[in-house]
This record gives sequence, structure tokens and C-alpha cells, in this order.
Amino acid sequence: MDYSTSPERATSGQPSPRSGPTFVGTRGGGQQPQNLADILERVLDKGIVIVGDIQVRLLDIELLTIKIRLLVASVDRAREMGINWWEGDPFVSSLEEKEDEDRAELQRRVDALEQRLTEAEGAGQIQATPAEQRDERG
Amino acid sequence: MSAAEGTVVHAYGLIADRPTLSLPEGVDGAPVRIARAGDVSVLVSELRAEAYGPEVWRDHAEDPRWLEHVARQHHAVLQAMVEQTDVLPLRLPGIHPDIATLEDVLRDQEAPLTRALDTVRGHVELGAKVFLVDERSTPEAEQRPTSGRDYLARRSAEATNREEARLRRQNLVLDAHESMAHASTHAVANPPQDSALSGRTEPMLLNAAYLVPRERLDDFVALAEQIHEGLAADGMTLEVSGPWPPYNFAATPDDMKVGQDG
Repeated sequence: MDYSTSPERATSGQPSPRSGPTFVGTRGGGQQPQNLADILERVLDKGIVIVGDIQVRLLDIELLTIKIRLLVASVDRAREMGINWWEGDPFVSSLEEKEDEDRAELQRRVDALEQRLTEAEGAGQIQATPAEQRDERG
Repeated sequence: MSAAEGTVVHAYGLIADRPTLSLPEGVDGAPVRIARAGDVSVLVSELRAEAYGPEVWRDHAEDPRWLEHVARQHHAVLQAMVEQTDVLPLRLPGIHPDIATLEDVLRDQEAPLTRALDTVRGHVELGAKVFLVDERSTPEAEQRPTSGRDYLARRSAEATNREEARLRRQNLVLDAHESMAHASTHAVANPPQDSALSGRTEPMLLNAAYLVPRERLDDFVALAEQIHEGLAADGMTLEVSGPWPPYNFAATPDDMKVGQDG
């Protein structure tokens, strides 16, 4: 197979990060070293396991620990990312779910503020938000 | 054919028999050689048990630097192979007491292993990730809000816009994955990588792998470029890596969880 005819795009020297997909790999020769996360994800989590040897099986059990430690990184981090991270589904980043939660919380606060504002208007006591007070008086 | 005293056999991957390969150096410079078991051949190195035996693995099971050391060298051998022939990667740690034992196991499992080799024949793996690099917060009117109500209305509109943008991104990412899956034989979407390990702070919206026929690699890359252009308008980038040994598609057909989109 011919690796030399393909459009190689290394990140270095790219005029802009959006000029094309970053191609990391061996195509074309000049390449970046492959990312450690990519390698560990593959060599520890993928690939065929040949069972049949007691030593290997014991090691496989131990390796569950590695996978958890390395791929999830830390308990805090896992919680931050959402525990579903490694429960099979997370195709779209769970960071976006975090975003959902943030927005829901924001919406609750906005609703509460709107409610108070309506009440205040009814009583003829419109007040600026703290941010506006700072802007206008500072 | 038994390993010398004080050694273990580290297995890298399986190949269909190919006598003319140029074999790279293995772990710690150990020679890589090919052991044949029926229709399947295995790439192995004999390593010192005191450096790579089961106890050492156990001791270093949570030692990222040691694992990186082994992982990179294991991968380097497979990478050198995939550039010459089809290879089926073995997961780490693939250590065995001696070659005779390993050959017995391979002979026992010859049928499923041959099928697994058939799956990746003529294919390589490409990785594709989508990152959100520019989440525009829709900078609205320059003027200050005229009232608290106006301020809140704007906040509310911003929240709506953000939700719309998020849904739009999600659909674009799903479409991108579908297109790339369509251009490949099998596809798999993996969980996004942790930024602590990847070193990337941008949210990873897609972490997928595709099993692509070697002769269609250029088509796939062209498609990826096209997808990348499309995603850029929504603040996303597509990064393609490879060709990799087909790690994500190295499984016996029975337990292979791929191909749902292929």
C-alpha cells in the first residue's frame, strides 16, 4: 500500500487549527508521536485476550484496576465527568450533560428572580440586579 | 520450544503466516520472532521474568510510567507490522510462561482466531475525534440591559440559544459518525477520553474508531476533511489518527461489539 500519496496534515506548521483535520499517524512519514491516551486506551482496553493460561487470567483481573485508574483517571474526575462515562452509552461527551445541569440550575435561579421581580414591580419597587448596580454606580 | 530459565514470553499480536516481514525490535530491544501455531502466527519476544514477569506486572499495575514504557514498545511492534501486513493486536499484558504453552492455546482457539484475523484482513483502523474548540456564547446586543426584566429575558434567550447550539452540535457529531461508519467496514464509538490522560481541555464530543479497507484510506481521509470543514462553522474540529493496528476490531467475532453502523 502506498502511504506517500495521501494528504498528510501534521498539527505543527498548520496555519490555523481549522484548516483541515489534524492527521496524526504514520501516513506520509512526517508525523507526531501518537498520543499516550490513544495508545493506552487501545493496548490496555482493546485487542484480543488469549485465555487458557491461569497466569494470564489472574493478570486480567488485576488489569481492571489499571483500566479504571488510567482511563477514568480519578474518582473525583469520574464524578465530574458523570459516572456513565464508562457504563457503555456515552457517545456524546458527558460534559454536555454537565452543561445541561448547569443550565437547569441557572433556569431555576432565573425563574426565582423573575418571580421576585414581578412581586417587586407589583409593589412599585423595581431594583436593578447587583451587576447593574455596579455598572451604573461604579 | 520452551523459553529459557527466568524468561517469560511477551506476545504482541497475531498474523497470518508471512515469511518476508521485516521484524522490528521488541520490548527493551529484545528480538521479535514469529512462532507458528496452525494457520495463525504469533509475534513474540522472550523477556526477563524479573523485568516483565507476572509479579512485576502486578507491582506496576497502577504505575502509569511503567505502563507507558511497555505500552509504547508493544504498540511500536504492532505499528511496524500493520505497515507491512494485517495484524491482530493482543491486549496487554500478554505474557505466557513459554512459547510451547502459548502455541497450545493458539491451536486450541485456532478457529475463532482465524475468523478474527479474517475480519481485519486488508483493513487498518483510523481513529476520529471531535473536539468542541469554540463554544460561542452568542454575544448579544452591546447595550446594557434596560431593566432587570430585560436582563433576565436576555439570560433566558442565551440559555435557549445554548441549548439549540448543543442539540445542533450533537446532531452534527452523530451525522459525522454515521458518514464515517458508512465509509468503513465496522465502526465503534468509545467513551470520550479523560482530559487528565489526553492532555486536552476541550470537550471531546466523539471518540470513535473505524475499520477501513486499505485501498479506501484516501477516500476516508477525503471524507474526513469534508466533515471537518462542515463542523468548523459550529466551533468543532475533527482529528483523524492512524492508520492504527486494528485494536478496536481485534476480537473474536462472537464477542465483537462493533459493526452496528457499518
